Formats: sequence, C-alpha cells, structure tokens
Amino acid sequence: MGAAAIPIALALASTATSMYNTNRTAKKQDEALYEGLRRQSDIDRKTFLRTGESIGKFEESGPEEISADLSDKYRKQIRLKQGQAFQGLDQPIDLSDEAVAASGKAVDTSNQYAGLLQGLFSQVDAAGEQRRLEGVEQGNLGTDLSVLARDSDAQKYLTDLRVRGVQRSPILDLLAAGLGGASTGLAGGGGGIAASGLSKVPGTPQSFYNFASGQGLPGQYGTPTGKLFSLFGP
Amino acid sequence: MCLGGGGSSKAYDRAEADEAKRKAEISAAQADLESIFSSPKREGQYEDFVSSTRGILQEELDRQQADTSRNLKFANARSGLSGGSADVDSNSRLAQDYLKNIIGAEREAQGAGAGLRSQDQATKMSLFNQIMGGLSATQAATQAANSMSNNVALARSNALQTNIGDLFGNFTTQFKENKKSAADRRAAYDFNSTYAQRPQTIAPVAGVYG
Repeated sequence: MGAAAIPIALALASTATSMYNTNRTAKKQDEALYEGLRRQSDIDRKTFLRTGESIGKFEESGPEEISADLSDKYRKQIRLKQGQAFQGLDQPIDLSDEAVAASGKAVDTSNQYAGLLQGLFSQVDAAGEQRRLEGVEQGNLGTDLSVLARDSDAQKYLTDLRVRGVQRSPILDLLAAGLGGASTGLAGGGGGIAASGLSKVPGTPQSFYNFASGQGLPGQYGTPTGKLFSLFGP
Repeated sequence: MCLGGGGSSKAYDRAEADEAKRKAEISAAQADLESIFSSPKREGQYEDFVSSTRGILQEELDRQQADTSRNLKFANARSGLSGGSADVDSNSRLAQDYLKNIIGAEREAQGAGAGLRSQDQATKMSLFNQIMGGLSATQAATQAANSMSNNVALARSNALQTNIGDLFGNFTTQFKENKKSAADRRAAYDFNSTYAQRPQTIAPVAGVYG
C-alpha cells in the first residue's frame, strides 16, 4: 500500500500543477481583459463628457446675445451715416416754421424706421448666425468623437493582443508532465518514464480523470497497467 | 518567482508604444491646426475682410445716394416744390431708403465674413480628417495655408462681384415725371398764349442767317 501511494501522490501533484497553471493563466487573462475594459470605459466616459459638453452648449445657445451684437453693429453704421442721410432735409434756404417742424418730424420718423429695421434685421440674422455657430460646435464635436472612436478601436486591438499574449507557464507544464510521467512509470513498474511522460505535455487537468478512470490517452500519458487498476478495482 | 508565460508581451509593448506615438502625433497636428485657424492674426484678417466688404458696398451706396439727393433737389426745384411738404416727404423717403440700405450693406458685409469663417471651418475639418488618415502636421500646415488663401480669394471675388444694383430706383419715376411736367409747363407757356406764339429769342449764329 505504501509503495502504491507514491504514484498516486505524483499523479495528484501533476494534476494539481496543471490545474494551477490553467487557473493562473485564466486569472492573468481576466486581469488583462479587465484592464482593457477599464481603459475602454475611460474612453467611453470621455465620449459621454464631450457629448454632454456640446449638448450643454446647444442648450445654452440662443440668438439673444448674437442679436444684441448685430444690433450694435447696425446702429453704429446708422449713426455714422446720419449726416449724409438727412442732408436733404436740412435746407439752406429760410423755411417756414411749419416746414422746419415737418423736417424735424421727418428726421424722427426716419430714425424710428431705421431703429425698427435694425431690431428686426438683427433678430433675423441672429438666428442664422446661431445655427452657424452651432454647426461649428457640431463639427468640433464630430472631430473629437472621431479621435475618441479611433482611440477606442486601438484600445480594443491592444486588449485583444494583451489577452492573446497571456499563455500557460511552460515551466509548470513541464513540471506537471514530469510528475505525471514519474507517476505512470512507477505505477507501470518503472523504466517507461522518458518514453511515456516527460516528453509529453499535458494540456488540461482532464488527463487526471482519464488516467484515474483508466481511459488514458494512448501515446500521451501511457496506458495504466494492472497494478494501478488493482488499487481502484474490486 | 518567475514561472515564465505571459507570451508576446514584447509585441504588446511595441504596439502600445506605437499607438501612444500615433496619438501624440495626432494631438500635435490637431493643436497645430487649431492654432492656425484660431490665431488672433486670423481674427484680424476676418475683421479686415468684413471692413473691406462694407467699404466697397457703402462707397457705392453713398455715391448713389448723393446722385439721387442732387437729382431730387433739382427735380423739386424744377417743380417749384422746394421747401414744401412734398420736398420734405421725398427727402424723408430718401433718408429712410438710405438708412435701410446702410443696414443692408452691413448685413452683406457680416454675411460675407460669416461665409469666410464657414469655409475656413470646413477646410479645418477636412484637413483634420486627412490627419486622421495619416497626413503629417507639416503637410497639414502647408495645406491649411493654401486652402485658406483660396478661401480668401474666393470670398473676395464674391464680394467684388456683389452688385448692389440701383438702390434708389423708385425715385427715377419721380424725376421723369418732374421733367415731363416741367416740359409741359414750358410748352404751355410758350404756345398757349392768348394771342399768338410768344416770340422766341434766338441767338444769331454765324453762317446760318446770313
């Protein structure tokens, strides 16, 4: 019984080593994937923030300020040209009081008319200018989003590369293979270690179960022989 | 304890370094582009363009207003309306038309400036897309300068082609009517006297009457 326990212990150690390697690899892949997702999430957050910034600008966007600015510009030009505009009403000849009053009234009426047009045109033009500025913001947003989309694509590629790059430890695989081979050799009467175990690399812990159930893979781990069967058999 | 594994981390590190470099290049090119299109110098150029366009339009407007004002003065004088309510009305109308056209010229100038800004914005976006596709910052700067130069040339050409037309055309009819009325009055004076046609004073011209 004592001698039979050694191959079993070796087989268990082989399987444990292989499982540890598998779990360790999966954990590293998970970590790499998590890191990639975290970076991707950062990019997504930047995208939401940038979009929110533009939406905020669109919400605040209004024609009032633009209209006031344009109105000022129109008023400035009107004031500059007042002298020339009313020179026809400033007669060099002596006029009656009624005519002078009529001229003064005409100047007032004309100024009111210009003021009305100035207000109306500034409102009309402000709506167009507002849209133009919103278009500029929309263009800037599109530019920034295209940069972020490109970053996101690149990050996805890097994450894939990182995850694919995480591989099983060859040292642990070699150790597991050695233990498995030794176990097989001892169970089979020795001498077959090199031929049956050390030169093979087990891939998964499945090897243990196949081994234990007597369905070992021919040529990979070696087929268990009678001594080992007698341990599990009736 | 190093158990090996981890695989192609060198490839990953290289890819990450390349990506970081590419990002930095794009950011630099974007910043260059932004500084070209948002520079104070460029803002000054927009203002100059608007100011020049306004100047061209107002020059034409002032000229037409001066002509119309002069014609109106003589038309009213010819009709004996100077200083009367009709004179005030027509001059008031002229002043209102002139002020309206002053606003129109300013609108035109501001619109030309906005058009130029829009063209530059489109150029900026186009160049940025090219940068994303691999255009270098230096190439982008060169193309930006060329494109903006073309934009200004096009906008200037459009502004110069702007024909503001006959802004005071509605006074033309009045001038014609006044001239016709004056001619009719002259004819009535000359030919419809009670007795006969008034004698005409004809200046002797050498060689015609002997």
